[in-house]
Amino acid sequence: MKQSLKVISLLLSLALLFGMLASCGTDTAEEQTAADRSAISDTINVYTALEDDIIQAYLVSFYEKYPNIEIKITRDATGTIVSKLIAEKDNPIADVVWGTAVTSILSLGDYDLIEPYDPEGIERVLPQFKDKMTPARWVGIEVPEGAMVVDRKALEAKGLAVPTGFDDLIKPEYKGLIQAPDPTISGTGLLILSGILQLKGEEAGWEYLDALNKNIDQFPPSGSKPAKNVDAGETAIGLSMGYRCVKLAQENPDLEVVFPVEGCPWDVEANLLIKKPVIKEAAKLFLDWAISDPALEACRVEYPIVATGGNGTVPEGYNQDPVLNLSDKIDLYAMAAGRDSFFTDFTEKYLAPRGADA
Amino acid sequence: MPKANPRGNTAQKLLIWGAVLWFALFLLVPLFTLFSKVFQDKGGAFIGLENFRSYFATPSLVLSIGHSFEVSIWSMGIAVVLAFLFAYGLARCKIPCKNVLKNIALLPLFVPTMVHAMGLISIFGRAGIVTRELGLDIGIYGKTGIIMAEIFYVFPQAFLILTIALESADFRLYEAAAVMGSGPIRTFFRVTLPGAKYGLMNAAFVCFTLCFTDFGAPQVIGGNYAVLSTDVYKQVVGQQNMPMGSVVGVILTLPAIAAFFANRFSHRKGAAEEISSKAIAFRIQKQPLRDMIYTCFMGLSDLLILFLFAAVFATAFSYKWPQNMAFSLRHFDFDAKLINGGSSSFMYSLLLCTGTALLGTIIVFITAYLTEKTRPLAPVRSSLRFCSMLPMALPGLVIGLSYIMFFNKTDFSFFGLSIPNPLHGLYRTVLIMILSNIVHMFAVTYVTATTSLKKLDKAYEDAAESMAVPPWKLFLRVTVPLSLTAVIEVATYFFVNAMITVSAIVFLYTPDNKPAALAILNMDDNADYAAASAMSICLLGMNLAARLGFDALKKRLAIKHESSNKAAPVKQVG
Repeated sequence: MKQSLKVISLLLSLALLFGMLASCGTDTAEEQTAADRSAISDTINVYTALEDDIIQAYLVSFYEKYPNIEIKITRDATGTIVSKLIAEKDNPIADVVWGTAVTSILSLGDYDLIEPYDPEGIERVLPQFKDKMTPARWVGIEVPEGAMVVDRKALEAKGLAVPTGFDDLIKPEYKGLIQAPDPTISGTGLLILSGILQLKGEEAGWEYLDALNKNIDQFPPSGSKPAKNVDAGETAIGLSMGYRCVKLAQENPDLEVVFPVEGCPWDVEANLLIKKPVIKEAAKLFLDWAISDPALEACRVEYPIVATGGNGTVPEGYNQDPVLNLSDKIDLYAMAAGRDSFFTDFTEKYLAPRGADA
Repeated sequence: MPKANPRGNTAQKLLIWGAVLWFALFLLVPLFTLFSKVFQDKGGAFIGLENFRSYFATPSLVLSIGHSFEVSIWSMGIAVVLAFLFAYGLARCKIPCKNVLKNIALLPLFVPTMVHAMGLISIFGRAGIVTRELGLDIGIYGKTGIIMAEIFYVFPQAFLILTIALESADFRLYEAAAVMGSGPIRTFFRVTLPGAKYGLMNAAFVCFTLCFTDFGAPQVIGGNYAVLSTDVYKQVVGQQNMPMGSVVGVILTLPAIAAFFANRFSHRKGAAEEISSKAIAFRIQKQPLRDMIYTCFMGLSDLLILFLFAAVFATAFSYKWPQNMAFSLRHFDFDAKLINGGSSSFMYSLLLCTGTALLGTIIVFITAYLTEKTRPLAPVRSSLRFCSMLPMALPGLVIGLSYIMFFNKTDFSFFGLSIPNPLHGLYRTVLIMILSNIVHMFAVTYVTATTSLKKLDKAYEDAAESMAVPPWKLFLRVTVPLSLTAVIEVATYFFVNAMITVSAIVFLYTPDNKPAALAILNMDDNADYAAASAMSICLLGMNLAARLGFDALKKRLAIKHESSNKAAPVKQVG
């Protein structure tokens, strides 16, 4: 009797413990009512794929403007952020998505997660950097472009010239010297390699990729790795985001950044409002702020191309006004729509045979 | 056969059902929620087996099954052989500085597998130190690299299991063998190996499935050699294809089922290796040649491990490895690199690890006790055993995803009936991360616990029953004290792994509580190996401190126990 009592009391206390922990864990947005619409004291959950080290700098002007709104940042790689949003779709936690690739977040529309919203000042955003629908499902803040970073010294040692664009990369002499991000896992890889299909057209694009694949040494599973691997001496030519290439070249004099003469493929880092039962006013204020001048100027420190365009100057490390480097053939909607079949085709044509040979 | 104690049985039955509830809520139902996605398209419509059909119609995906088996079998084979030799040296030979040798070999346990792979790249990559200095490119990216990294990863796990198995042999068997004139080789094959059989099989299963489900090392060093775990990651994170991710997840769980049946088979035949209460602790005899060979082998293993860590340290502390090797601390400036990073995240990691170790050890030992040492509800206990082994085959990513899908649901609807989810409140709390960690690491700790419990003579239970000593008293007074080494081992395992695991919690963390290890994943994603190495060194430091603490605790408890309870069989020299 005594011991079963003890066991029962143990079980009871365990149950109590769970109950307590369960009850103190809830912090959802139910308290929000229409009455405190004007009040700007609130907490919002912001999901973003922006780099860790630049988020705080971006947020400075927000906190100046809205000192009573608390921003909770969930930062992760683009894919993780999007899959987290999809996994939480029945009960969304995020209030807004901030600075995450359009080609990836457009799919959130399939899960009915997007609440169209025109933030204040949307007319200043260049048409190619915001949604074509009104009200807008997404609005861009900055534009990452695909470029390459080259180890000039390593190429010189082999008697090779620095390539000027994509067409040079398929020359046989560069065989085994090039890395590009695996587009089936990296947003950067997707923007560059599926961007090439747009640059060259579907059919010629695949022919080009066939030839490029023969010269590619490896498709590493992250957007930064090809560039970093050039910097580390692991490979000679790396396809990656322009600003990352520029940053590495500024620290390593052996490196040179090449903006392909054919034009750079690009994507847009965009914001959107999450559709949920209660949409907080603070979330809209955040989206308004996110395309305001102070916010975009902060973006410009890292990404020279922001949604309102360049500022007419040539940033350090760039060849010209970076907006001019962008290809005019990029169709983000086609890229987003063709994403799944691109994954399949790319895997079957290039990734699987590589795995099989290894 | 003494009569069963009915009161003990009631309590035991209650506890067994409690354990069933634990597995149902924190393992099976979440998994079911995730795996039900297997039969749905991306929009959630039911499509039957269509996803499987398209999986097997995609050669690149099917290819990964073979790859996963190939790297896992190689890693398992090599690691188990090396680990057995190492454990044999530890348990059965006279070797100087045993503790130093053992602790160095444990180092790989304290950092994420991504770091082993990064270390290997610093050594064998194209710009790696060996490649440049010796002009020898072994082609580290791909299968070779994965296997090497996995061996470093599972070697300590394997030799820990094997050391426990080899340490608790009955010396009387060896005396008998010597008396009967059996030579050392014959004794090894007739006494030593059979005695360690259960440990060997466990070690093999643990190694195999850890390699099979690890995604850190293949992610960093695999090049374009795809394995199942990276496929899950790719499908879920890269392509947000949850249904296909779940299909790959299902395929990943199949080895667990194989492991379970193999384990049950060995268990049925393994009754003989229990240590009887009259056993005598193994007495190590001096054999200069053997001892020297083992010392050299163990020293060499340690040197290799130290070499790997030296590469990690060099990467972290040099300005820019390998081009500029000037000393620098710039990679340790986490606050500048990370949002929610720095000191607060280390505190958070500490909370997470302590919680996981405490709660995890209790749950694991109770479960192991229930499955191994109680009699009622045999079929239920058997399914508990299955549930305990199942997490071994579940990649953290699968557990994390299933948790997010289950616990974030506010209600369930069955045939139009809507039932609120009572556990929804756990979502976005520390506790859910702790629970996911416990489930994620359940199998290995459970194996450690059962290996140790199996060695305890059933005579204790029989004696307790006939003397009407309640089972909980036996559990606390005899079972736990006799399994003290394993208890501390389990707690340590939970602690250090909670420190370095990212895959299970990457979907569960919130901005307010982000553990430090997640930073390594982000740093790997940014290809910032130097910062990742620096972060790993900090985690290593915290884990080593914890390990030392646990060891000190173990010593204190062991001394206390020795003075208060002389009945321990291994101490009882007959």
